[in-house]
Amino acid sequence: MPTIHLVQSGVAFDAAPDETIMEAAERAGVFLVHSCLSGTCRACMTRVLAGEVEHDPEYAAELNIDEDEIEDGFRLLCSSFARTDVELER
Amino acid sequence: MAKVLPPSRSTAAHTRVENASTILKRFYVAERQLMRTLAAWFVGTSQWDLKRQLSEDMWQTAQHADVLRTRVLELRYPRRDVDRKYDPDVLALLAEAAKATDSHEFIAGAYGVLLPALIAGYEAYLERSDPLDDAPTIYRLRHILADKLAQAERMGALARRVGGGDRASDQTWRDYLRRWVDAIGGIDGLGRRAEPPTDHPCAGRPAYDVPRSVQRDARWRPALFHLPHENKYDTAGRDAWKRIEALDKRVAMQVWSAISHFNEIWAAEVPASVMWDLDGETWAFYMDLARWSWDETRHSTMGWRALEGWGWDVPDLIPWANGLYNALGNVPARQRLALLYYYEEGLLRAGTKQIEIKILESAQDDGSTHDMDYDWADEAIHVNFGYTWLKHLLGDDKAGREELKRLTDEARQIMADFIAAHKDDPEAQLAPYFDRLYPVVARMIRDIPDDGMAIEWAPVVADEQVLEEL
Repeated sequence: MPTIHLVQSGVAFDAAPDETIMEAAERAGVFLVHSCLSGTCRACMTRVLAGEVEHDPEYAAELNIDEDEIEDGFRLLCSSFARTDVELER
Repeated sequence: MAKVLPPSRSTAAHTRVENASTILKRFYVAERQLMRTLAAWFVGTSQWDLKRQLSEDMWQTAQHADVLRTRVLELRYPRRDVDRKYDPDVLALLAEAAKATDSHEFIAGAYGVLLPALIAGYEAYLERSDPLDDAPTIYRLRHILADKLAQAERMGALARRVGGGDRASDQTWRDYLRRWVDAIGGIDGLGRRAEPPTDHPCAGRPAYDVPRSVQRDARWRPALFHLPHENKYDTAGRDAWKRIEALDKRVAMQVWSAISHFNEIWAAEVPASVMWDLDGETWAFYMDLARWSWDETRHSTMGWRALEGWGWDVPDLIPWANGLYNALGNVPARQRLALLYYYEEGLLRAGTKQIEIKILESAQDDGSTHDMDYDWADEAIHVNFGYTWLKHLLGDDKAGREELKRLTDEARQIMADFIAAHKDDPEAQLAPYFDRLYPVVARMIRDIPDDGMAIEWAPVVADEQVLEEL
């Protein structure tokens, strides 16, 4: 089970392969900024500093995130799965 | 001679599919233009009761237009034409209806002539249509009709209550628009057409434009800003706010959220004005902006309801500002939308709403928590609207993103210049409001068990360092 490290707050929690990082945070009682939970409001957009985070392939094309934001390492945590241990700029 | 069975039933005139789609298209055009006109006059109306009703009716009108547009497309109407080839006579009528000289006259015309004309058109359609063959239209028109009747009754009562709409000039205006309705053969175009009333005293007015500068309800004192974080120069206002904050930061959050919500009216005015300025966009654009605008009016009403609910003399105690609209009233529509989007996305990404809800929960203020919860859900939708439609307007590519940043940066600078230019104006000073408000709040506060919540949230906390985070 991948571990999510929030670098700025020093918090860590595990995420199951089939739960979004946001769901995993909620299960662990960790506060993460969010709103729509559907990848459209951009509130949860966060830079991935290390590791692999994949947007939900079922609706990756419908997410409100620009290509250059993805290239810069940003992901929408409400619609993302951790594929390895990851470090987030949070 | 050919041989046939006799018809099992007869049908009314104008009910074949081609007729139906043509008539429903006219209704759609009328509702679409009425929606834009209501949006513009919502901006142009200062009287609060009328203003928020115009906003709600504008959104309902958007729903009506949408339903009609959908049905038109179901009736073999070419998709490529549904948002082209608008009936010029219907457009001309609606353009005239927008040319009222003030809000009372506009309401007298829109609700005293246009709505009755639409209602007559819908009733006539329902009367002649086949209840089986055209059942999908009938179901939809009955709902629209119920809304229209309720709108006319509600606004009529409201206008009477606030004392408008019954001047001789209002009657003259209604007469002018009635003659225009006759000139186009009714909204459905099926009636006998009279000559346009070009000889009428109301004829020949210049085209209407949405106001670039708005006034607030005359019951309130003129105010440019509503909370200390807006105007960094207003140290007296910030000090006065700190007295309220010193009672308890939960109290400050309760007061702040109500004042902030009430003043969201500018965020309703921006998309409404954009709906007027940008004609000819794809239909979904207007649907989303209509919702955005109405949502923000709802948020403003939430604040007003909370402030009234505390039994306060709201016009005396609470600033109702117009600076946020007026600072950018003259910049292009896309730039006004860009700044609104910048503010809304910024609030969500900072987690503002989540934090505010936590503080309001800590205050055990169910009503304010509930309001903020729905506000939070709405704002998430608005960011989606802003993201989507600014890409549509500016381009979904690197150049479009750069232009969005340029427009936003420039708008922020215009806002900063506006604040600096008005920093010494009496209308920019908030201390008198908070000085009046403090004893009212202090008298009402009550004790609850302290849950130990640490609150350091700008702008509730009027601390220089915390305000720097904005």
